[in-house]
Amino acid sequence: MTSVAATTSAPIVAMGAGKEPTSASTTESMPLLPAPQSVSDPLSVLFLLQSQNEQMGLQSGTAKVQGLQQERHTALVKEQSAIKAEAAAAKHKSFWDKLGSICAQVAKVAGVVASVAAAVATCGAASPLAAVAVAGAILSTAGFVSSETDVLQKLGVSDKLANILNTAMSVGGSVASLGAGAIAGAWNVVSTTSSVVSGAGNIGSGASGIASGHALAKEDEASADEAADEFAQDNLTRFISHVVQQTQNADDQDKQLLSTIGQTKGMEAKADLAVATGTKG
Amino acid sequence: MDTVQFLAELRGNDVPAYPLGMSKVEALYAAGHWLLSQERFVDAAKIFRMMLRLAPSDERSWLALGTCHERIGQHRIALELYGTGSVLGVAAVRCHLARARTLRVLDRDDEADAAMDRAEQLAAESDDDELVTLVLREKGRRAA
Repeated sequence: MTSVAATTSAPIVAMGAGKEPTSASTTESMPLLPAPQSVSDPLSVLFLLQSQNEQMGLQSGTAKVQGLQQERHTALVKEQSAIKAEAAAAKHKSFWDKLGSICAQVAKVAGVVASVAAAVATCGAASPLAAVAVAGAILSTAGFVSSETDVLQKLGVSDKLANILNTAMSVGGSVASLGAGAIAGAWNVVSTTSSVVSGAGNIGSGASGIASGHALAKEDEASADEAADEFAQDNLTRFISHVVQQTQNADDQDKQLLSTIGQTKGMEAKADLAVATGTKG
Repeated sequence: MDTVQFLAELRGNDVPAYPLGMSKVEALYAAGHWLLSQERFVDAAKIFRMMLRLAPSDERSWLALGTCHERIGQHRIALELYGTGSVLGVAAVRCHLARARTLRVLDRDDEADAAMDRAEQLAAESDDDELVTLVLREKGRRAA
């Protein structure tokens, strides 16, 4: 099995077309990352992703969904308002129950991620699991933008917030008001950390889209999910194209990386938003 | 002509053979794994962050992203990611092992021992010989 070690010196088989295996310079000897499925050329995998995404007819699908939503919204809104109020209360409580449970566990071993997840969730992000995933991605991106110490200091979970995670959130329901101050504070810190946070902030505006989506009938809601997912795919496609372009020309890759990192972050931030809005719990 | 052919021709190659049945998550993992093997940690991390969002309960997402940070010397960020993966992943033995290693690097030996014990317990419960072997080798390496 070919593996990439977390900190290993084990040889790593390069999968690039026509390239020889290379070794990663590392400090330990035990591989931990399992080998991926056998791929003769990883670039072709990127091409495959790109091709699949483009074949989905993203724009037409989105327009169709928008038309459906507009058409049905007026007729359904009255009928749904009563149902919505009852269902939203239950769903809201369930969401925070789950988030509180997950964050309480995560906070024991990863307080920063749990903290950021709570902040993401207050923006209305998707499912609890997705909120934690976005939090991890934010931490990672910030880490590549700024120094580790700086990031951890700025994103570090405070005692106050830790208490909220472990108590108030697990109660559920009232976290938005209970934790608003602390979480907003943490979020403001996040906002100063790197440009990726602007993308995460966009999740907030995306969340308002989710909120209005709750007013739709079940069928329309499923369609909205589909549109959001397609939007995510579109951004994923653009991102992959970006990576492919970089990879094709090894001589220029360093310069390209430097010059396009900002653009990539923008795409990634949009993908954050789209994924968050497309994976409602 | 589809996009794959077009891009392949631009590259001056024949259309490469690729596994059509491969899932998006697996494709991202394969691509990120390759970038990591090339020590392109920034690029690999971008791919793994995508994978993370698509498959947050897949321990490889957290493990691979943590590896990117570890390889650039950001052990505490890696620890955060390994820790989260160890909670969200199902029987995330590898994340526990990675966490144990990182805790060891940070001179937090008691916590490292606890993480190692947890990895050993999960490996035993999994009935996966590969994981059991992985833990035993890790313990042996540590003892040596």
